[in-house]
Amino acid sequence: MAFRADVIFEILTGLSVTAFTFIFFEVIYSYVQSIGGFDKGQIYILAGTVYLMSNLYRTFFGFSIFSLSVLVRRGRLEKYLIRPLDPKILVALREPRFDNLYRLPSYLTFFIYGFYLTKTLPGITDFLLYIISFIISFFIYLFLHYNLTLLTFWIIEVSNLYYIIYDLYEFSRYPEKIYKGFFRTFFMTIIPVIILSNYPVKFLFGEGKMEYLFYQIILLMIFFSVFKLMWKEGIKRYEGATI
Amino acid sequence: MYLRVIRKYLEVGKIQLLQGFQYRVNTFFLVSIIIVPPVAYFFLWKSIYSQREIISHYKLGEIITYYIISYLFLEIKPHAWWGISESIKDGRFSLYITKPINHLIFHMVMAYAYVILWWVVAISGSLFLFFIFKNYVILPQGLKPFFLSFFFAFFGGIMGYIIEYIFNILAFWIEKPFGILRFYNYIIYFFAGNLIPLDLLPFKKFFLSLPFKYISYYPAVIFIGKVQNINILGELITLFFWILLFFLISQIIFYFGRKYYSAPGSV
Repeated sequence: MAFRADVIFEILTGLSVTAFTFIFFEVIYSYVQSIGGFDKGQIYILAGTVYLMSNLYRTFFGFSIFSLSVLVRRGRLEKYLIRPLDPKILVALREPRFDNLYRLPSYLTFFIYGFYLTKTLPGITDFLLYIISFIISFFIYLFLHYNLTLLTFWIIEVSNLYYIIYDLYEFSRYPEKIYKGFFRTFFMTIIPVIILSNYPVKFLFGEGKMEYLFYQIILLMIFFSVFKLMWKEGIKRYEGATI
Repeated sequence: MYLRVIRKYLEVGKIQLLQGFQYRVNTFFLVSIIIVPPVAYFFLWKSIYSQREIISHYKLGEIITYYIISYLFLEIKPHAWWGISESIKDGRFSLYITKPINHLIFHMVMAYAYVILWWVVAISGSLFLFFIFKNYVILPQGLKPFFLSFFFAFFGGIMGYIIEYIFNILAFWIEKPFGILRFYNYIIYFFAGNLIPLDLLPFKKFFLSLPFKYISYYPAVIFIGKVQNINILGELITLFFWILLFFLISQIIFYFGRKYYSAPGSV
C-alpha cells in the first residue's frame, strides 16, 4: 500500500474494464437474445473467465516472461542460468506483479451477475471440471506467451511479438460458435485461443465433454514440448555479456 | 529565428526516425494490434447481424468498416510512453531542465518521428483487412470524407498525445504513476469509441460532448459517411479549442511540477 495512488488507479482500471464490458454487452443484448448460442448470463460468465485467466497470468508471469527479451538482449540471462533452480521456472516467476490482483474483485462480478441471470448454479462435479479445464487453459496460455518470447534467442527484439497473444486473446472473449472457416480452424488448433475460455465455461453450463479435457491436455503437451525444445536450442544460441 | 527553433526539433525527429528503423521486424509484429481485434469484431457482429438486418442505424458493412478504421486511428496515435514519467521519477528529467526546449513539443516530435514506420505498417494492416473483408467493407464516397477523416484523426491524435503527456507529468506528485497511465489507456479505448460506436451507447449526448471522440470515433464515422451534413468548421474549431486547452493545462502543470521536482537519484 506504499503506492496508494497506484493502487487506487489499479482498482479503478478493474472497475472501468468491468463497467465497459457490461455496457458493451448490455447494448448488444438490447438488440439480440443470444450470441453464438450464449444468452446474456452465459456471456458474462465467459467474460469473467477470460478476465480471470488474463489477470492471473499478468499477476504471476506476465511481466517476467515479457522481459525475457530484455535479459537476452542485454546478456543478463546467466544470472538465472547459474542458480540452483530450474531457470525456466525462475525466469517466469522472477517478477510477479501483485498490483494486478487489485482488479480481481471487479472481475468476479461477472460470475455473480452471470449466474444471477442464468438462475442456475453448476453441480460440484461440473465446477471441479471447470477448474481443471481452466488450469489447463491457463498453462496453454502461459506456453503460448513463453514460446513466442523464446524467439528472442533468434530475433534480437521481439517485445512486440509478445503482444500478439494478448491481441489474439480477443478471440476468446466470444462464443466459439460465431467463428467460421479458416479462422475457426486456426484458432482452435495452431493458436488455440478460442478454446482457452470456451471449453472451461462449457462445464459450468452443463455442456462439457471429457473430449474437451482430453483435447486440452494434448494441446498442453504439444506446447510444452515445443517450449522445452525452443528453450534448449535457444540457450545454445545465447551469448552472455555480464552478470 | 523560428526556422532555427523548428530545425532544432527536426534534428531530434530525424534521430528518432532512424531509431524507429533500427528494429524494423519488431515494428512489423505490432501489426497484430491493427488486424486481430477487428477480425474478432467481424465474427461477433456478423453473428449479431444474422439475427437483425440493421442495428440502430448501422448496417453490417458500416460497422465492420467502422472497427477497422477506428482501430487504425487509435493505434497510429503516438503515445507519450512511460519514459516521461520514469525520467521524472529517476532524476533523468534534470537533463531537460537546462535545455532550451519545450518539454512537451520535444517529446511529441520524438514520438511522431518514431511512429512514421509504424504508420506504414499499420495502414498496410488495414488495407489487408479491407482486402479479406472486401465483400463487407464500404469505401468513403469520394475523396473529401477520406481526407477529412485522416485530417481529424491526425489532430485528434495530437490532442490524445497531450492528454497522455499530462497524465505522465503527474509523476511530479505521484510516487508511482503507472497505474494512472494504464487507467488512462483503458478509458481512452472506451471513450474514443473503439469498443462500440459512441452513438450506440446510452447517454450518447454525454459521450459525444467529450473531446475523446476526435481520436477515433469521429474520424471513423466521417470515413463511413455517417456525418454527411457535418458542420466541419464548427467541429474543427471545437477540436482546436480542446488541443489548445489541453496544451495550456499541460504547460501549467509542467510549470508547477518543475518547481516541485527534487531531482532524485543521479543523472
